[in-house]
Amino acid sequence: MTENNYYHLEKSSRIKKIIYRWILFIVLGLFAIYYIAPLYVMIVTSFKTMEEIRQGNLFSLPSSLNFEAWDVAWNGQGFSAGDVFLKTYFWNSVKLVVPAVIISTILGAINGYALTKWRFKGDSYIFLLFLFGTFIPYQAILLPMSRTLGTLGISNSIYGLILVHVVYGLCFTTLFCRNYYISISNEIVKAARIDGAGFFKIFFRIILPISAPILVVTVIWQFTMIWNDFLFGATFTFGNEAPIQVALNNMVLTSSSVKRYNVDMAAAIIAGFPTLIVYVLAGKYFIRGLTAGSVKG
Amino acid sequence: MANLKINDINKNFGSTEVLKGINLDINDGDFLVLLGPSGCGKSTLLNTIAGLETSNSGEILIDNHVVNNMEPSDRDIALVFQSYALYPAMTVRKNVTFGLEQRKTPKDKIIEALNEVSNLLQINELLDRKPSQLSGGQRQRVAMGRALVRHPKVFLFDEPLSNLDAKLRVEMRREIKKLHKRLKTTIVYVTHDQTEAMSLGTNIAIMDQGKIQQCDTPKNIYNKPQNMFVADFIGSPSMNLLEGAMNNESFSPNGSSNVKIPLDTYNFLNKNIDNNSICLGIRPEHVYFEKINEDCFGIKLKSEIIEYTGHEQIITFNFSGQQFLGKFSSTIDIQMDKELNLYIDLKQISLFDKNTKNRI
Repeated sequence: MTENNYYHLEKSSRIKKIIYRWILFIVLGLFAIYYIAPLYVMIVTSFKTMEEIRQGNLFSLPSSLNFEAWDVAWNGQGFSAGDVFLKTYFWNSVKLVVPAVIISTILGAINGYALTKWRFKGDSYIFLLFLFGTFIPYQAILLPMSRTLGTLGISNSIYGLILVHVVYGLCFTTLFCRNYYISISNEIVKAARIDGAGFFKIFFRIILPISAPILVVTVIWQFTMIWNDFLFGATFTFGNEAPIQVALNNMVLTSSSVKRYNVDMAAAIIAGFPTLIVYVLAGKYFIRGLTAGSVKG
Repeated sequence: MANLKINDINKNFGSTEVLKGINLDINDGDFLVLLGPSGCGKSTLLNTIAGLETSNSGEILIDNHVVNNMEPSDRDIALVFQSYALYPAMTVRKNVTFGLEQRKTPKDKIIEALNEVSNLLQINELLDRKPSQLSGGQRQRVAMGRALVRHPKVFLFDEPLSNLDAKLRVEMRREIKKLHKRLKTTIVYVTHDQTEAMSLGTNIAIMDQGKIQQCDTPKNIYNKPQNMFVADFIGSPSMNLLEGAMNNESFSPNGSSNVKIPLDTYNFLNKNIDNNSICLGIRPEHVYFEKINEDCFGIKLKSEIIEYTGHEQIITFNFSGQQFLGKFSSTIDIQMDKELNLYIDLKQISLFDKNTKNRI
């Protein structure tokens, strides 16, 4: 082949590469727009007045940054008795999520540690039960749980809801942590036993400090599950004790004659915001933690 | 420092017997190496001594005290693991002192002990690093430091060098030897590497299938293997085992009854055996091209294969159908596919009963 031929081959493959690259970018761009569009509509709608919304331009920008809808969603208007707003319920959810996430994560970590590092007779059967636990549908535990909460005297309270979420989430957190800890060398635990440390000392001093990747995963998982839960909240609480998703539902469904789309959108964004934040802050670790253990390091 | 006694230890995992009646007597200051193929139970035995596994029957005595029901931490032993098992989240300093902290040792004593081992093992500059920032050899040192710092009665090593590269392994081996010479602590050391076993141990216990096949000094293990397993396991390439028959103080390999290897210089342990199924063992390095002493016996064999390894060459001969290896210096020229005159040193032979596999 001549020098000239090589030049042409090189040139055409370079052009091909550029074309493929652009096709890829365009396809990805279209998908990104498709997925981000609802969020965009929610945000612009929340800043519009009802006048603007009635004009029917879903995608148009609001004429001015109008925070009134956000104010109504958060604080309420205070004039009608049945007025629902999110402030109280948002803090209900915070008071529910924080302890429930912490307790279920810690218990899951201890379970996973015990099941992998302190093997005992029948431990694999216990693990199997935890595994089955992850397949139990929400609806299946509603009746037995409400009996239990009634007996314990904590129905219609945040505490009751914390208990429900801890028990329900325990299977998941145990599964996550067990799968992570199984990849940690057993010899570390043996060494610590010879050094004279006991069950909890080894857990807190040696195992927990290297558990960050999986703890992030369980925290995100539990946070999302509990924050976004509607069924348990709606079943086991009512009135002022309800978590935010229940309040959001009530707000959207019970608002009087006119549909206030701007308020609904603002409320939905408020209800979804914390999960969004958690994903943005810890999402990097989420993937890392999920894949940890699959590769030996 | 203490002696260690193991009396009739048995251990099952479910229906598999891992240890079948192990007896060992390790004197104060001994360096005992447990050597065997993988799955022979040597690590289980070590874990049992450490207290990380419980035995189904038998006794373990450290310093003449039965320790069967004691926690690992109360047995006053230290164990160095193959994976080093350093605590990943702690600095080297914390790793080394963790055991002392758990024992509520006073602060000044801890610092003193830490200084002592970090000088001994030259890990002074590493004290503030995390294990992940250390090389394999440095991790090994830290793991040893963690064991040394408590001055335990017995040191246990579980294949501590097998994760290191070849060069470092030889260096660390020498360091362990030095350390033992200096501290004179009782050591039990598990390995599957026979060079390591031979060079380190004052005694070697060869294990196979949950039993101790022979426990003796490296020299005796090498020169007077008690059974065919030990003969075959130790040495590389392993001992030639020629099958044949014995009569009137001479041995004839199968297929060449005209060859009569005289046995009048051999020390028989037991003559009450079936003379027709005997194995004669001779190491490849005890085969020569010239008569090196009065006890040499000449044979004529055909050379078939040559394996050149640099410092030596291994030649495969055909001994009337049986494979026969010889190991020679790589400086001599050897022709292939030719009948050659060879001499075997009769002082170095071992005889085994093929049925019981034991030395006779």
